[in-house]
Amino acid sequence: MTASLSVAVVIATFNRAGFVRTCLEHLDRQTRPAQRVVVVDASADDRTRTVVSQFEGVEYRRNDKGRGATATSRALGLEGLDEDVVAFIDDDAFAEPTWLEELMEAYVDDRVMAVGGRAINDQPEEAGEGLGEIGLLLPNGQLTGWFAADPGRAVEVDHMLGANMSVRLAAVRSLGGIRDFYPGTCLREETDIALRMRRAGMRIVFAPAAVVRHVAGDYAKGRRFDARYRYFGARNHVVLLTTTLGWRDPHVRRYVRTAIVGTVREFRGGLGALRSRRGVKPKLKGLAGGVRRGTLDLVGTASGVWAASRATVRIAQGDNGVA
Amino acid sequence: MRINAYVLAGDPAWVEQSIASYYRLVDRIIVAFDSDGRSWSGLPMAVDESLERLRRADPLQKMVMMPGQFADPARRRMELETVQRQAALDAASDGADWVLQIDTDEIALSAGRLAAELHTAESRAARALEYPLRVLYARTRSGLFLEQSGRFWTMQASYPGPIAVAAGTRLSFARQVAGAPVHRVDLAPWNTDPAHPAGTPVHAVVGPDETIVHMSWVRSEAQLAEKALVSGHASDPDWNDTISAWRRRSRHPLRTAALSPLASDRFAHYRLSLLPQYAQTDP
Repeated sequence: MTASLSVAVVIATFNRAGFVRTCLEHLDRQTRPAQRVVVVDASADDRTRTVVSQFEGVEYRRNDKGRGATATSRALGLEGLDEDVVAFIDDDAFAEPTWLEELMEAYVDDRVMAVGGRAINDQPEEAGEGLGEIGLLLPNGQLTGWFAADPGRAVEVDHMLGANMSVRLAAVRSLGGIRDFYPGTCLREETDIALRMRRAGMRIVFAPAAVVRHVAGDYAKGRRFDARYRYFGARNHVVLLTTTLGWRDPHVRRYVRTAIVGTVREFRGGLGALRSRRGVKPKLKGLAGGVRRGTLDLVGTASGVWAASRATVRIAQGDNGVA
Repeated sequence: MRINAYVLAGDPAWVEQSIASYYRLVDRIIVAFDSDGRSWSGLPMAVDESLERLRRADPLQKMVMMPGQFADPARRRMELETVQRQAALDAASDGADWVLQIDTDEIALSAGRLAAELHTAESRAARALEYPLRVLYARTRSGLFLEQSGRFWTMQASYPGPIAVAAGTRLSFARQVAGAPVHRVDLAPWNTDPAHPAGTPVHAVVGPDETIVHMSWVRSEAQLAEKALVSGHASDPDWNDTISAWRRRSRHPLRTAALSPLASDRFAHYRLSLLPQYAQTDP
């Protein structure tokens, strides 16, 4: 049944030519090859273009926005496609041979509009962590991840990991395409389309047999989980909830409360370190850590409210933030 | 999705209301009881009356009787409870996807919502459903209920264990399950149970009229004394204080609720709640 569906693979990349090569090599070994493979490159140099030219049939496209525009790269990747399904894979995610076959298998159900897969990180116990709560939007507005978990069968989810996800092209286009209001570390950009699909009543599943190995390449700027990551995580989350669900959705006000409570908890944790830790240096380190995290969350959330109000106006004007 | 249930027979209070509240959801109900009519601690208990009430609540003959030997004064009460529950759960698992483990003094206020959350749990590959119980403490003469609450009368959930588990589950302690993927439902988007850490994730929220009410303390003084005796609580050193406090709060519900914010024990806050459907029902 799914054999009749055509599929394109889109890889968004920035300054990771070596990873792109390995990623494409893994795509060459698929038991079900894609009808089309597109690499969208935001790098300043030509190294990725050179790598792509060595793979026959792989299409190279440019994203002149440069760093921090992953969603724009995804949108550029979709342009002109006429396949039924588009699968997104990160440049630092290496697909198992049956990855595409397993992703497509889930589309046998006509009601399924998007399918995400596992991204394993080679961490012990990761297959069993988070079972029962994979890829959820919680009532308090927070998201769960756990995309390395293996529940043993396909499960319903609210969102997917950008490193390994696919959508029916017609569904994305019916929702107005991909939006890009997620600068900086690009956190939450992949969740945007998923929450809009869920809001429209569309079904998304997580297919654990569709596996990529996510090796986490070098970051475009800074380190993973640094202050920048935390700030943009808070900022972009507010943008995500308000622009996909609407300002009046209960998740928005619940998330603001959750963020405030979390901030207070971080400050209190920092102050608690003054009591619980021994030695001046550990005490000050604990205090500084709590204050730093709390401040980043608070400032990120506040700037998210401002960014969300601007994004709302742009969406009303028909601007997806991609151009 | 095929759903069975099991109950332990021995406590007749609220049995008919409890069974009726989820009867339409299940194909089969395993009724486990001690064939000698004794409690886990070896004392006689009202098994016959419980069975009689259960039969009255079974117009479609869904119940399967499962007598056994579950009394042993030499063993710990909770250990025996776990053994009896596991035997019942194993029997109920046959031909089922999920098994309800709702005690006979617990009443589901919305079978439809309970079923919906079970389906959600199934769709997310959870193996246990944690569903909020509202603990009702006493019924006033005017038909209101004293209910355990937060310090300032907010609704509060209680979780003695998953209210449903996937067929074939192994119980770890009473009806609790260790390490199973859980779908957790609460009364608010944030955990309301003081027995759980504040950051415990909530996967879904239900309204107060969609929860399960636990009638544990809503009974006559004689029924309460019997329950304490057969369940082993009567030997607790502070049992007399507990029953005195219950008597005092039952007689002065308004004062109990009004002074609730002053109580230092986080499990001793109460609110007055309306449940008209059970305002006049005898337990």
